[in-house]
Amino acid sequence: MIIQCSLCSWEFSTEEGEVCASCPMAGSCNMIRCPNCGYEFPDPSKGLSGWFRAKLEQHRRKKEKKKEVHQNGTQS
Amino acid sequence: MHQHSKYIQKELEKDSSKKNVILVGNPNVGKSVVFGRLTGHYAEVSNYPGTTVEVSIGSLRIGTQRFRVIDSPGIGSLVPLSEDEAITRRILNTSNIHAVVQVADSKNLRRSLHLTLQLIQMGFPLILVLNMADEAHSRGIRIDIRKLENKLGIPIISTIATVNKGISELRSHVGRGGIRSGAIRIVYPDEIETALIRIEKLIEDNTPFSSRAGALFLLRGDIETHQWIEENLDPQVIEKIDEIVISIQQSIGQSIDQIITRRNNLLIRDLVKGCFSQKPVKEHRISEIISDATMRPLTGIPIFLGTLVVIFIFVGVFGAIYLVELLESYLFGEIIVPWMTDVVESLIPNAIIQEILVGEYGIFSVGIPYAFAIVLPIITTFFLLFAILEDSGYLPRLAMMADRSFKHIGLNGKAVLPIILGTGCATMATITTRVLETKRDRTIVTFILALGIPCSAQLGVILGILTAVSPLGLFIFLTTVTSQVILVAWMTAKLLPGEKSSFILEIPPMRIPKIENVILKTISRVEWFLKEAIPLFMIGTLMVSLASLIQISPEIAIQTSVENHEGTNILELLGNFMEIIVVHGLGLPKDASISFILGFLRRDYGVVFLRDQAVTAQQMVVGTVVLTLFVPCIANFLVIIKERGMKTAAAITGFIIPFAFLVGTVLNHLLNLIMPLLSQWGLHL
Repeated sequence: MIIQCSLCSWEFSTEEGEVCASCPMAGSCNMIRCPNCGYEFPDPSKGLSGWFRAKLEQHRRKKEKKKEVHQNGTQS
Repeated sequence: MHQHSKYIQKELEKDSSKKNVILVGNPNVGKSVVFGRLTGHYAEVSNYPGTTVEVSIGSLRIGTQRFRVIDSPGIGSLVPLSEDEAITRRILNTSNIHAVVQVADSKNLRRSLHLTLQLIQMGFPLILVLNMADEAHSRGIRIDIRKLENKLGIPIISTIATVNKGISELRSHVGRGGIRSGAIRIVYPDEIETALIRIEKLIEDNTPFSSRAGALFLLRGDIETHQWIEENLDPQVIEKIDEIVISIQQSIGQSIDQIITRRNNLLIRDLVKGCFSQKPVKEHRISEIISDATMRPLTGIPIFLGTLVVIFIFVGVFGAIYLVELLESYLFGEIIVPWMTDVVESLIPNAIIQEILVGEYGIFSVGIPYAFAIVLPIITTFFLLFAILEDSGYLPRLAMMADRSFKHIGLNGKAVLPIILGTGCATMATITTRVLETKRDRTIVTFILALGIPCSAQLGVILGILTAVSPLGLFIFLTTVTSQVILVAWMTAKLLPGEKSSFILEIPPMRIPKIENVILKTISRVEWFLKEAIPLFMIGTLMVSLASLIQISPEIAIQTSVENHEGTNILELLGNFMEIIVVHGLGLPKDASISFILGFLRRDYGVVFLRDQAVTAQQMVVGTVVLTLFVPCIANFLVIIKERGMKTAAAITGFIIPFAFLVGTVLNHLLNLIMPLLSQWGLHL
C-alpha cells in the first residue's frame, strides 16, 4: 500500500515505514514513520482503523459491483 | 564503518549471478514508489547494521534476466555528511552494477542534476528518471527530454510512478542497462585540474569508481574514499595524496567544495538552457491563497493563534470541562467506581488488596478514572483536531513558519525538523536526530527535545486542563515554555556556529480534510494511546498505591499494613524528602511530589495526578511548567540511552532536573510578586 506522509508529502509503501527498533513501545505501536522526515502518523493498514478501512473498502466494492450489475441489466 | 561495508557486500553477493540495479536520489522524489513499482512491493527491508538506516532489497525479472534492485536512502550529495549519505555511498561500492537509476523530481531539475553530474563523474551506467511529471506539468514546467538526453549522454525517462506511468519504459531501459556517459567532462580551474591529475596517477584504479571521481572526492575531503585508499594503497602513496590535498587547500585559500559546486552550478545552468521552461501559472485558487497566508508571518501568526483558540475551545472547554465532567463526575463518580468498590469489597476480603484496587490510590478508583474519564476525552478531542490539521496540509506550513522563526535565532535548519516532530512524540523525534550530520548536533537537539518540547499527548492534556482551570495560566505556561525553547535554541545556535543548512520540505496542496481520514486517524491514535498509555497508568497507580501502603517504622523496619499508621509510608517519606523543593520552592502541596515521579512514567499522567494535588491555579501552572521541563518520559529516556549512550543520558538528566525545579521556583516566586498587581487590573489566575 502506497501512502503519503502528512508532513513532507513523501510517498512510500507501508513496508518501508520504519519499524523504529529503538523504541521500547514499538511492539504495541500502530504508527508508521516516514522514512524521509521521520514524522509519525497512524499506519492506515494496521489496528482498528485498518480494520475499518478494509470494511469500508469492501462495502464500496460491493456497492460498485451492484451498480455495474444494475447498469448491465438496464443496457441489455 | 569497515564492518558495514563488509556486511552489505556479503548481502549483495549472496547470489553473484544477479546483476544489481541501484536506485538513488534526493529525498522526497518518489524513489521508493519507483522501487515498489519495479519490484512489486515484495521487498526485504532491513536495518543497516549498527545504524537505523533502512535499505530495501527487491528483485526484478525482465524476460529471462533477473536483477536485484536496491533502494538506497535519499541523499543530498555523494560526498557523505550524514549517515544516510554514507550508506548510499557504500551501496554504490557494490560490484556487478547493471544500472544506477537516479530518480529525480521533475519540479526540481536543477537540484537533481547536481547528483546526476556526480554519478556521471563516478562513471556509473546511469539512467535518469524524471518522476512527478504531472506535478511539474501543473506548475507550468516543460522539460525537453530528448534534448537533455543528448546533452547528458544518458537515457532519461519521464514517469508518474504513483499511477504507474512510464514504468514499463523504465523496465525496458533497465533491461538494456544504464549508459556510462562520455558527453560530460567538467573542467575545473587549473590548480585543481593539476592536483586532480597528480592524485589520479597515484590512485590509478584503486577506487570502486573512476579515478577522476576518486581524486575529486579526496580533494573534497571525503572520508569514505580516504578509508578506501587506506585499505588499498601503500602508506607512502597515501602520504603523497594527503600532501597534495593540503597544499592545494593552502594555495587556493578557499573551500575546494565551494569551487567545485560553483563550477557544477554553471554547467547545470548551461545544461538546462533550452531544455527547461516554466510558464508562470496565473490561476490562483483559493487553496493557494490560503496556503500563502499560512506561511507568511504577517498572516500566518494570526492564523496560528486562531487555530490555538479553536483548540482551546474544543479541547479545553468541550473536552476538558463538559466531557470530563460527564465521565468523571457522573459515569465513573456515581456509577462505575461505587459499583466496582461494592464488587471488590464483597468478593475480596483482604484489606490490602482492597486498598490496591479501590482504595485512596486504587487501580479502579484512581487509575482507570484518570485514564478513561480525564485523559481519554481530552486526548480524543485533541487528536480529532490534530487529524483535521494534518489532513488539511496545515502542518508542513506551520513547520515552514517555525523554520523561519528558528532561522532568526540562527538555528541550524536541519535541527528544526526533530524539534517540530518532538511535539508529536519526543521519543520518535530523538530517533529522528539521526538526520543531523554530527554527533554534537544530535546530542544538542536530543537535549532540547528532552528539556522543553511537550509531546502531543502531554500538550493535549495540558491545553485541556489548564484552559479549564485558568486561561491566563495557560498563557503563562505557553510563554514560559516557549521562552525556554527559544533560550535553548539560541544556546544551540551559539554552540553550533557552523554553516546553516536549509530545511527542505515538500509542501502539499491545502485541501479540505476528508471526514473518513480524520475519523480513521483519530481512532488509530486513540487506539495507540490506549495500548501504550493505559498499562503505564496502571503501573503508576499500583506504584503509588504500594508506596502508600508500605509503612516504614521509626526503627526502619518495613511492613505492609492498612491499619497501622504508626510509621511513615513511602509517599510521606518522599514528600518529606522533597519538601524544600516542592513546598517552599514551587509552592505546591507535599503530595504533589508524586506527580513528578509519575511524570517520568508518562508526562500526561503526571499532569493529571497534579490536577488532583494542586489547590490553586498558580500551583497548577507552576507544576505543569516543571513537568514539561522535567526529565522526559521513560520511553524517551530509554531511547536517549540507546541512541546517545548512558553517559550522555545521565548528563542530560543531571542538567534537566535541577533546571526544571529552578525555573518552577523562579516562576512561583515571580507569580507571587506579580499576581497581586495583576489582580488590581482584574486579571486573576
